[in-house]
Amino acid sequence: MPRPELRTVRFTLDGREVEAPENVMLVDGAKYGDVEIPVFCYEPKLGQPVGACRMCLVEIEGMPKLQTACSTAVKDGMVVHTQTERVRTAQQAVVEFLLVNHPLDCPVCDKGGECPLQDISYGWGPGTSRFIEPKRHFRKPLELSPLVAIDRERCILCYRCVRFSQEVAEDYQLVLLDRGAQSFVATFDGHPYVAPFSGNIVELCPVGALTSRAYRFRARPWDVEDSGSICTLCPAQCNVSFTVRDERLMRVLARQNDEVDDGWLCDKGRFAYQSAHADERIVEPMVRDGGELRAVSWERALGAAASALGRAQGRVGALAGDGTTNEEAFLLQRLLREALDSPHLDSRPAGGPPRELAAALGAPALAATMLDLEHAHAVLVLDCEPVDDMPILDLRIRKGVRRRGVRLAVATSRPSSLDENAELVVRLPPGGGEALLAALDAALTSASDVEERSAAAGLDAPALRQLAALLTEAGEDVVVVHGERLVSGPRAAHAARALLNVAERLRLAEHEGAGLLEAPAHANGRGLREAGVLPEAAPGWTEPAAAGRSAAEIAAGLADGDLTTLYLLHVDPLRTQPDRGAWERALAAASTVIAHASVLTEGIAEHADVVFPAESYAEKEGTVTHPDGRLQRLRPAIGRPGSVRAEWSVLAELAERVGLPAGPLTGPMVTAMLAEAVAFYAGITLDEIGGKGVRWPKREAASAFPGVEAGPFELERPPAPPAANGRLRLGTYRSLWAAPEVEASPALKFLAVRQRAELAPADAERLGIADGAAVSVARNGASLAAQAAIRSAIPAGTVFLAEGVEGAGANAVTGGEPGLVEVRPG
Amino acid sequence: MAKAGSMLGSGSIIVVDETVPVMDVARKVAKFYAHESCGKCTPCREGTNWTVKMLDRMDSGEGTPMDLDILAGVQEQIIGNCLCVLGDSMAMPIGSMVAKFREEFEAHIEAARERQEAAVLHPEPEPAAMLSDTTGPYPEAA
Amino acid sequence: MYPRFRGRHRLHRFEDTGLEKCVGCSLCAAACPADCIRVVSAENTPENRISAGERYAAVYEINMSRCIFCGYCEVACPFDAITMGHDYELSDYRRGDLIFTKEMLLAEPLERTPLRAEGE
Repeated sequence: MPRPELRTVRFTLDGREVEAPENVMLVDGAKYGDVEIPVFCYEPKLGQPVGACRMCLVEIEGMPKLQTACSTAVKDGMVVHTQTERVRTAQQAVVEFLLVNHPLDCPVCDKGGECPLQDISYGWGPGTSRFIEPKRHFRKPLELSPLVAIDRERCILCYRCVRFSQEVAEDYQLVLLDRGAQSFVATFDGHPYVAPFSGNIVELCPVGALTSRAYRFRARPWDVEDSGSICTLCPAQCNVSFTVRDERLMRVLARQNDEVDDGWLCDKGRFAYQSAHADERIVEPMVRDGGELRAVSWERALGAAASALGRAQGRVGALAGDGTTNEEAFLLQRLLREALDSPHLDSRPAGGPPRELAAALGAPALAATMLDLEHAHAVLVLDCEPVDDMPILDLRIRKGVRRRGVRLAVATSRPSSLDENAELVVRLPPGGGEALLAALDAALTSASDVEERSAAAGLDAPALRQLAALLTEAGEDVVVVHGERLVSGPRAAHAARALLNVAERLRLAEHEGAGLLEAPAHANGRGLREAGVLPEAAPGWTEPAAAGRSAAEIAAGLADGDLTTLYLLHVDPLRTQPDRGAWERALAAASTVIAHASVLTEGIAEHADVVFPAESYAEKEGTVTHPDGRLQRLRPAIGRPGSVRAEWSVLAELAERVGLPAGPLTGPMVTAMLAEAVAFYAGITLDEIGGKGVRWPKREAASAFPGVEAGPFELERPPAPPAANGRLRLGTYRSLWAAPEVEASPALKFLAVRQRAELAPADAERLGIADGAAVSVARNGASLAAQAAIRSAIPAGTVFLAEGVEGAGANAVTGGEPGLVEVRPG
Repeated sequence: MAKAGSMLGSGSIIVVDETVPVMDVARKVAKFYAHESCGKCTPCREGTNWTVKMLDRMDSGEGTPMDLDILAGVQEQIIGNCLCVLGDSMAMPIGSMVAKFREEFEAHIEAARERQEAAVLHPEPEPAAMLSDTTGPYPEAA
Repeated sequence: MYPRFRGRHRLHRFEDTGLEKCVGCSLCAAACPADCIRVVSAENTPENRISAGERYAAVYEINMSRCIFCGYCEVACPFDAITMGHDYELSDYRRGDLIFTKEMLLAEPLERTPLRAEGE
């Protein structure tokens, strides 16, 4: 969709000529003339202004009444006065009115010191109040949710929180009850406001009515320092600002970057900072001694790891995952490839397509940006759940649909929270992504066998034709959002070819505003691949000297004894890898397991022989790469606790100990090494990345991207799904809350996930399972206990389990690929 | 009408003879608008609510003639600053009542004060329970 | 002693309830030009009520070796919880001992003047 052109208009503001972009509201336009107009209810992120608070009244010549600057767009030749007596009187009146029912709580209020109401009262208020009657009273403070406290006396009824809930997050939970001076903010039916983005209302509230319970009374603005960095708890990589007091994280605020997060954060990003200070965090290196992990000196731990790696020369496997920076990834592959001569490393839990195809999917021309999502003609959400896989994506898609008329199509196996916003919903059987793409490819080329292909894949052919029509008719800018699972597993190559075909048919590479956006399985998934943590691609997608084993092959190799040592960089394979059984055997068979971890999750606690304490994301220095190709910089906000060391230095020292020449001495040196090794990162410096990041596909060096296989490809027919015979097809999903950081954060513990088997009502009835009953899900002899959750939107014949649940992840019964499972009561 | 500082509003006319105290009319009008205010914009929401509280206070003998200046000031602060004209519709009649019937308001306030002082000096056997300022509308806990 | 003399600070309690007046708002710390006050506040609970408001000062420390006795903390305090007292004998042998905690500031000043022993 064409972006609005920026034309400038000239208007007179307080007697001076000011130039501002056309159609911005006067409040924003005035900033171009260095004039601040006070506001409470105005927040452009929330959509259309409402003009409720009346704080921004200004005088515009030619208009008899004062006008609200928040809802009046600047026009050429407009003459505006913001400093006249009339305006001042009106502003003072509004402040006096707002303070009529606002308690004098400032000394005990968490907003004190950073409160717009305080600031505006000082700047634009009358200084005194003539109100002597009793103020209105409410019971306070109340829990709006376990995360947010509400103090209704302080509320100035600006509608920001309600608008957020209704128009941004679209959870429709917050409402204003009653009317007039008795109005108050409440939740629908009095339920707690539990939603993935609920924490944003704390930041939106211009007074202390909504405060964070985790930050309650922790600090004052003058006690703290702000430190900008990136949240690496999920692939969205939102820009954040850590509030630090006495070397401790106190809270996380959004650091608005329109091209990444639009100024929003999910609750995991906002509250999981607590895991950095959790008691269970590992802060000393540990070595297994007599069957138990014991804290030891760095010298001993590094020595133990180095000698194990040295002995295993050529027979080391490595996995890297969540929170790993590009620098750590680069040093890990250097350690394995150059020092240990064992190129067996992987960052994709379920494997992926071969190098040429994977690189083709990551090519700069195909990369869509977050802004493209909002301005696209059509968006297709394919086999992923944005709110769980990359939460901020969900808000961006909603924004596009609501405010810019983006046409949304959802094609997922599990019912998506975006279904209601979508023009078209296609339900595919779990694991049916490839078949869908193949059929869509056929529909886009008007092939004759669409019906046949769809039927074979269990898809609805008319819906598929509708989908093809929607994507071609909407306009040229089409963005396909897909999960990593779409192009993983044994048939990853076929799925990748089908996806590239669809991209080719829709001409995604040719149009600036079109492309693919992948939600990778790991927070820095794209960065890890580009830095070369792949079995068959060295840094920059180049061909390595020797191809290595993929994650599944590493597991098999360890179990067979072909590999002896496993290096885990922020991965607990029992939790994140599919096929738990294979990894249990692999970990048991491995002679040495070296892990970087921040908490002792199952696999680490039981099998690791050397554990290096991992830095939290607030302690890290380095860069990460956003799924849209934006390199962003992590800056340390707090000191490392205990004897935690920078992990890049641990990797560098290990490399040195096993025989590589002296490595990097500082963090930025690693970044420089990375920029040298990855051709399309060439010349990138930390300064260039700066606070807002830089997209490498937009830089000149992007032309150095290796040549890739061009489509269209001849597609092989995907295999037909096996006959069910009374069993159910198993689909898995990743819950936003199934993460070690959530379990280690006291504020978020109430959200920690328990395994649920999501069933369709028809299947539940057939199997005699009641909602909430205990069930067991069995496959190939392995079984998993779960609680039944009957959801009417689940297609009959399928069952869904959550991945990554501590101790009860779906990987116990996935065996690599979702298949058929038996669900029994009990 | 406009010249006289008033307007026809919805077109209805309320006829009040000289036996009705203007304070009662003002309270009736103000309460109506405070009740009807939707609460979206600040001047109307807080202005109507404040006006009612002030008139009630004057009527109960807690007011002084100086409060009339505040009352008139508040009406001026409402007029023209609201999102819709509901606030203005209260502020105009109340404002003009204060302007045109100031003596009657003053006399009413004085009389109410005397009544109240008498009640304090010679309390009735069962005084009405005073509302403590810590009570109020308690919505259900979320 | 001159009544307005600004000596060692004192924190106060309400005489009737015994609750601390300080609510841990940190305004004194904000006003302090020597940056010698540290306040860490916490929330009152029905079982553990320390002050009258919603919050109380869990930690209240004044570093007397940095304090310049300007009295801004007293001026800033919205609850008259901190006042400047008359005690001026504050010297000690270790710097650490000059960090006065909340308990010390709430208590009556100790008699710290070394008294000459009998016959000395």
